[in-house]
Amino acid sequence: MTSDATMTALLSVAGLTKDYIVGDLVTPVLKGISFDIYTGEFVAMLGPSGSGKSTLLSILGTLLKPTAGHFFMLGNDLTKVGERELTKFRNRNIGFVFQYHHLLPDFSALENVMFPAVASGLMDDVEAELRATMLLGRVGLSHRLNYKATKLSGGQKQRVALARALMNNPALVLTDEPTGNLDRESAHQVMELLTEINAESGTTFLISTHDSEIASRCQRKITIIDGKVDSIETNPVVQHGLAAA
Amino acid sequence: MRYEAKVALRYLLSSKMQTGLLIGGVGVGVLVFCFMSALINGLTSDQIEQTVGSIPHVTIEPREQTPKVLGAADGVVVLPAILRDNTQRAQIRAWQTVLDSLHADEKVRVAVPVVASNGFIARGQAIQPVSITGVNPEQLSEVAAIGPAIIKGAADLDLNGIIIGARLARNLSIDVGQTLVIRSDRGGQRDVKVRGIFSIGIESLDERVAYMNFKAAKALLNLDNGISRIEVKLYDLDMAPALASNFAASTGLKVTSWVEKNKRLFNAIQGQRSTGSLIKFFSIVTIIIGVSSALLLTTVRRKSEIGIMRSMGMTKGFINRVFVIQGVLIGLLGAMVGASGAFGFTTLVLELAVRADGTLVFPIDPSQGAYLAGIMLATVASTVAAILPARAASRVDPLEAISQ
Repeated sequence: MTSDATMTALLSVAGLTKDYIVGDLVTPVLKGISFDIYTGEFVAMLGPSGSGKSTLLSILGTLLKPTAGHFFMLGNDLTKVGERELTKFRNRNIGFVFQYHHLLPDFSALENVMFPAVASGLMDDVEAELRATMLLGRVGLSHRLNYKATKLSGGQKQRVALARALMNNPALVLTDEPTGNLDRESAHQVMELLTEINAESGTTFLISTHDSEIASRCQRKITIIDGKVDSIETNPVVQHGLAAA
Repeated sequence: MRYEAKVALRYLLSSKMQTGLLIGGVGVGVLVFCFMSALINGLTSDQIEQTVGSIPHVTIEPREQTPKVLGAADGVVVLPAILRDNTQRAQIRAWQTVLDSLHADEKVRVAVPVVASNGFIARGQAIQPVSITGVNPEQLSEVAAIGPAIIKGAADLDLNGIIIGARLARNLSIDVGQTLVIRSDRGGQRDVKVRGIFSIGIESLDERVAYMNFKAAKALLNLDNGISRIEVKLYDLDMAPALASNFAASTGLKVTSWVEKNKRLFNAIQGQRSTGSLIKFFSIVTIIIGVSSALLLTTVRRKSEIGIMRSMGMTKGFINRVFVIQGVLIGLLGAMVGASGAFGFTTLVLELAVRADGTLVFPIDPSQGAYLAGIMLATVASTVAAILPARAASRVDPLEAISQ
């Protein structure tokens, strides 16, 4: 874990546990996870299948409640916040990029990106369209603004999903195997974008992945094994993110 | 709400086939609703018109005076016999006051004073019994549908005029313009000229009924101060029993509504209306089931999209509204299509389903299709039908949906 005293902990996880209960059967998935993630960091979360990565990511994304422990973000203990407030918090502060893009198929690329801002009333149409156009330009899709999501290639869809995740200027972007569904070329482009945006804007990224090459491009690697933090390593070679923050 | 409407509209437009079928389904339901309304209401109006059109909705008559039997000594059995006064007719004496109060009542369309009694018509040696009805000439059509039934002459009731039925005219071998003698059952008599001959098609009426001028009939029947009855027609037929009770209480006279006099018809009409209501109820239930099941399927199909919207911070209320708006739009559009279709269809039936003699096969009335009620009910039904799918959609677990 980094010890830089000047950095602010965006996310602080303390003794987080999660049990799945089916009838009388209790399956512990997370067994006391603790770590901090600092503003502007670019962090990889590694671990084999079934290690609890996705469950942890879901809890950090406020989509799932932990069984015990605490989880602070921007000074709020999110384990104690009601669902309505969590929904609003998620809209304002957390962006998601999933392995599968999950775009709304009946909407254009521009509308998909505008959606989290306009539908929640955070921005008006004009403001949202300007920002969405800028973001789509940033991910190299200026020429595909009005293309329906279904007409885009896999890589393009994932880039739209990234632009959408950034739309409300979130403090944290959670990504779950963001290149898992892409060919090598597209995967490379998406990773380049993630690192560039992290470096440019200081947006904090937590990337859940199996891919050690992706992990090698991150400043820190948190390895989860069997529901516990196995190791947290810092990669001194990587300069983006913190350096730019 | 604006963005929820946008998403709802986009969902409906993206599945044109399903949306078209749903709108069509609601439309058929509303078409059945409006068609049944037009048919049942038309049928009811026709039956009422045929039966009630020629009779008063409320009749006000003198109360029968029955003398009380005085107490008798113990052991004495009294068997009273009432002998009606043969010279004094039952009559409403303060009829003008009653008439004025009826005219002041906004529920009353028209109130007609009538004098009536039995009498005889004589021509030479031929004598025929008749029922004499005296009415103001301008109100004749309110008492009987004579105008369209006139086959000779005119419905003209001057002081010396009389209108008789075709069968009576034939029995007396008399024609329009000829004079005959009319006698009351109390001996009065007057010469009158036949102004018109009618044929209603009901033997007893065409043979036994004669219409005279109100004033002439009052003189003939020796009713200088009173009248026999007041015939009342209302704007709303269904109010007749209630208003009859009110009139009876306020006038102290004998008041009878058409419902009382035609109980069997009234029961038949009520039965008809109930059957119609049942069919309309089931058409609305069909709309609810159809819309609800289709939208439930949509929630399953859109599960991952709902999940991603929830993960993007859309509230359960947002998702709820997206589906309820779909229900509203389907209901409103379907209802308007159905109501328009029903109007067109009923009009077509009215034009095409006509017998050789010009009468209608279905006494349908396109103006009584209850279109607004159909549109409102279907829209509400469709909205209600969307609530269950909307709740199901808002409860979608975003995690489960995203991991699909």
